[in-house]
Amino acid sequence: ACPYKPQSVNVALVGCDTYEETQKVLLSAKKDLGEILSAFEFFDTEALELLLSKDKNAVDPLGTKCRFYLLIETSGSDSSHDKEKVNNFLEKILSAGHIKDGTIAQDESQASSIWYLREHITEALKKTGYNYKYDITLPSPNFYDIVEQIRKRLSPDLAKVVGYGHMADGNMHLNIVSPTKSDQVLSQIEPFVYEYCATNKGSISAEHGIGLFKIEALKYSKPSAMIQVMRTLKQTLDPNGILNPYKVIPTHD
Amino acid sequence: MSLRILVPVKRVIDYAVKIRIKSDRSGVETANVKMSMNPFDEIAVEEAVRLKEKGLVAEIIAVSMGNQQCQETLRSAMALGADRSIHVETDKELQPLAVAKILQSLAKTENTNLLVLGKQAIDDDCNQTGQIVAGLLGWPQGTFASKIELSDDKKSLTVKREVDVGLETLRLMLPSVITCDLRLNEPRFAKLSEIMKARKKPIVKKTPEELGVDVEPRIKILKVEEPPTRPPGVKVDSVHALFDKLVEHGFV
Repeated sequence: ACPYKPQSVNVALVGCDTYEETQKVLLSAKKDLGEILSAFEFFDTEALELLLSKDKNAVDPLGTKCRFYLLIETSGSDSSHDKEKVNNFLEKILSAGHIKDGTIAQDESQASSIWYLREHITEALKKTGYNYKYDITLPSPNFYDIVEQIRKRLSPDLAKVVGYGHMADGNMHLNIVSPTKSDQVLSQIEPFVYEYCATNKGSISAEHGIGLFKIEALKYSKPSAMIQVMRTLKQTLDPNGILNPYKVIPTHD
Repeated sequence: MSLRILVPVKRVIDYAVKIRIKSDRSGVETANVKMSMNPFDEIAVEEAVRLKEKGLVAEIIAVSMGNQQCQETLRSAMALGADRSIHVETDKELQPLAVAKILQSLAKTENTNLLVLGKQAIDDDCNQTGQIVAGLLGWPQGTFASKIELSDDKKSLTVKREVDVGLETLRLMLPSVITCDLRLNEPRFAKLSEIMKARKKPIVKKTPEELGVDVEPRIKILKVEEPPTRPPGVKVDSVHALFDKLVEHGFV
């Protein structure tokens, strides 16, 4: 049977000025919202700025510029129970000073406007130039550090660097955009980003997979013995290599 | 004179929800359905708050009528910027005439000089309350407002209205009644700090009896039905057959 559509959905957007504050909000959300927490999305001020400049349908609900934005959604079956939990949680993080400002959607239309921001960053990036996209997982302390590291390696007139993602899963979508494709820019990103993931116990691909483009990077997340096992299994089950060819498994070490 | 604004706000089914008719055809199903402030009322509150931000308003009072859950709607209105609220508590079904009579009574006791309402509620689509209360109070009305400006001498309002032929501009002497249309403004997002403050703002309870208003419905809903389902289309295999069908159905 199909799962029921949740009765009661709350969408809030909060802003923090430091990364440490976002971590405190995440911890508090996991603890105080518990089973009703259904989304915890992150984007930086650079992502929002880019979006607002490229998309006239995007509206900044907070009006105050914050370093980081968090979209927090809850889904449950009892609206009064959920509303109380959400209000208590927001009051707690506000009075503890973990957030600079925030808002909670008063109706479906506001909820859509808030989600619109998170969901249209990628389109805005596309309109800005040539995109270098990375879907990585990193432990909490490194989640945003990678974005700042990459930003240090690229001067602002060469490229823009933005970070957004599924923070509760440690999944960062690191995005760099330059006016046109540039090998110089690419050389500053790769293999640095993959080495960073390998050194910090992260993954070079969180949810988007290896496919065609990350075959050479697989070694940063999987030891060669493991890759050899994958290759052996693949050769056993698909000796002619006709199933999903050219993807995932490197043909050589 | 400073404006003393009264804004009624109604709790309705959220406009994005797909509504269902109750199986006994007595009305729309509201149990377990997401409710929100009527979108036109949000626009009304927003307009009142914008006037206040210009320094033209002494006080904004929000009012809602019905059961305990109205308090949620009033908290939203206060989070947007209303200073205090009145909850007229009743379990009776309220129709525009009853609402207008209550507003008439409150406007008098609260010394209101500007009544700002949404043009209609999205559940009944009556579009009557503003007009009726203006008649009861004997105040001029500017309905379907898409722009409101207070005169320099603060004695009148210039209201631009959306009408079928285009835009009409009226000047109304205060006190007056305004009903708000979609293009008047875009309601703000309530800031968290305001939402928290609103939890402490006062809500005063009243009853229709206290206000001396008879709210007995004058109109009885006999039945509510879904619109008839569209009949299936008919395929024809030649232009002649098409023409015959069009003639048969009286389209040609």
